[in-house]
Amino acid sequence: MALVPFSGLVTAALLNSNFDDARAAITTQAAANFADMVVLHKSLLLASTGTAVSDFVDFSPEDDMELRVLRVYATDATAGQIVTATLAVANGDTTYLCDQTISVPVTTGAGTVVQATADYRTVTSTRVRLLKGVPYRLSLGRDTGTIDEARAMVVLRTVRRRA
Amino acid sequence: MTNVDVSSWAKTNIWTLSSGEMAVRPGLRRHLAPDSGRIFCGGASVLNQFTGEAWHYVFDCTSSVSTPRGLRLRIYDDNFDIFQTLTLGVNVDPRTITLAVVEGQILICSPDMPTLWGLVGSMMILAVKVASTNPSTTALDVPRGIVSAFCNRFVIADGPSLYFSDPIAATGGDGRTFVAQNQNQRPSPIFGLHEGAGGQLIVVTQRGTYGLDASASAVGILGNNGTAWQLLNHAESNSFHSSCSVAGRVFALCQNGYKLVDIEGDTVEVISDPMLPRAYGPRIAADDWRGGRMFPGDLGPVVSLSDAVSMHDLAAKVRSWWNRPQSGAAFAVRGMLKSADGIEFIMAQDGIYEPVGNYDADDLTATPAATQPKGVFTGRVTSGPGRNTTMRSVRAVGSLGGTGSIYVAVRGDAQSEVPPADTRSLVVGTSSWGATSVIYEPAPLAAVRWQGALNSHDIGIEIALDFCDTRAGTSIDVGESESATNRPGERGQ
Repeated sequence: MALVPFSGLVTAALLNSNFDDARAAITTQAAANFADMVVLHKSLLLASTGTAVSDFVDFSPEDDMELRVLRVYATDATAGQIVTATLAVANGDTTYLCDQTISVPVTTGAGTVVQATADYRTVTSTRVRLLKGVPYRLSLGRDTGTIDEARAMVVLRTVRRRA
Repeated sequence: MTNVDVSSWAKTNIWTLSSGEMAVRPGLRRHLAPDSGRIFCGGASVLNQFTGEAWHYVFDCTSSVSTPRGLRLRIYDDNFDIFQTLTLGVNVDPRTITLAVVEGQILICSPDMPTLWGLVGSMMILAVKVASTNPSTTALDVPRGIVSAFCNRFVIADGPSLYFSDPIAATGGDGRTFVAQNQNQRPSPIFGLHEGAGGQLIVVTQRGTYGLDASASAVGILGNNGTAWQLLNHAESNSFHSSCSVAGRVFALCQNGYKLVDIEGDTVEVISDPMLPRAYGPRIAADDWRGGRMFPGDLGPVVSLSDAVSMHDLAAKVRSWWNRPQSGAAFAVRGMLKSADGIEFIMAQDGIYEPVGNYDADDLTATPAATQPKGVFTGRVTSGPGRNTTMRSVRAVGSLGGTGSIYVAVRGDAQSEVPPADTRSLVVGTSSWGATSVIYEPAPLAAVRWQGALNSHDIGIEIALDFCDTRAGTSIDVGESESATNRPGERGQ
């Protein structure tokens, strides 16, 4: 049951109902795993990709977090351009990604939004946890030309430890 | 009537309560079963030093020797959810699986598979050599063998050779960097590597146990033939998994049981059951225990051979065989795991078990199994060779009443009885004076008596108790009668 917005006279029953719903939601979240995501958005991906500060974002997880999904979106007036989202360690130390290459490319269509996803949840394939305190870098790159708009997104998850 | 202390007798399915009393072992509850047609064959748990999480690294292979073994690593989180499945392309039931962690890097080694490298909590990959930061050294391919941590380095033993990795620190270093300069040979094949007390590296070989002091790691080049090794013990080991480290002390299997090998000594923990007629389970014995497997338990060494496992509580001085006679399945232990909370799991070929609760069960079900293990004490009451003793009675006690039996067997002559429920124990000062509703009343000890007339010099006695966690009385009353001393000519005199 969704939370009921308060209006007019707020009854005790309504307060209780909202409290119970909120508590149930918290319980559900606590029982599940905590998910987080990092998003990088570029309104214009220039030919000088990689030199602009806004082509990448560095982040450092506050807890060890499992890499679940890496996704890239792009749109451009020209079809056939390749945009790549990449996750790496900021200082280039491949140790902290178990020497794995984490990237996903997408090929643009003329004027449409395209997207591609690399799924890292398959237990028989690449399975990486990002370590807390290590600076990781999510970046966007392109092969040629200028891209009108691009976005990279990485979904992370931690296994909630018992208190 | 003679009172005999049975606490030092051989034990089966006996363990200690947290309060120190002896009792029938706790139930074995299975958390995880291997996939159909497969068996667990090795592994260990690692506590992530940075997050406190536990990760279980468990290997399995097919159970049949007539099909490819298909060795596989599975990484489980603390809830036994699979994180990674890594098929190794190796068709072998490994002789041993060893694992070491240094600064969050983990190496898993076996002489029967390629060495694996990874980060604790992340995936494992095949270990490929990494060049050293020391430009004057040459990196070797990552050796295969058995591994231990030693002063922020990995050590891998392959046959008689030892390879020390470059040191790993917060500022850098890779566990896959092994250089030609950091190696050493012992005089014979190495079967055990342990980080002992004070950080000493202890190397168990076919010709004695050697120690390398932690101070040796202070030099840049480690393990070369100028390093001061000490011969700690002359014990001979001849198989993998025949030694383990418990609380910094290293034990190794020997012919009659096991002993400390990080120091010279002649004290052996004999683990074969005594040679006596048995009514409650077979005698567990071996001519040479070095063929068994040995694992470190929290409380003491764990020894597995065939379908029983020897558990040892060093502090309580209690050692007991554990088996699962009710399930009919072999209890072949291949490793020990541990949760983030410090709960120990026994990894047998057919499942991962937690010793907890009051019944054996294959899964975490709420319905107790129909049968439970018997805890058994086995020993001998001696009498003088000139005496003519007739055993008339044995009185034994256990915390049973109304249900569950106490069993007594004298030279295999078994009798059992369900003691009557004892409702006499009132707790004075509680809110209730009723006999059955006191605040807390553990089942009191109740006694049963074996009666007979057995004339023998070789009085072997078994005392058995039903149900997990049943407290055991550790003394018995033995009633004997003596008609006359033996005369010359009797019984070969």
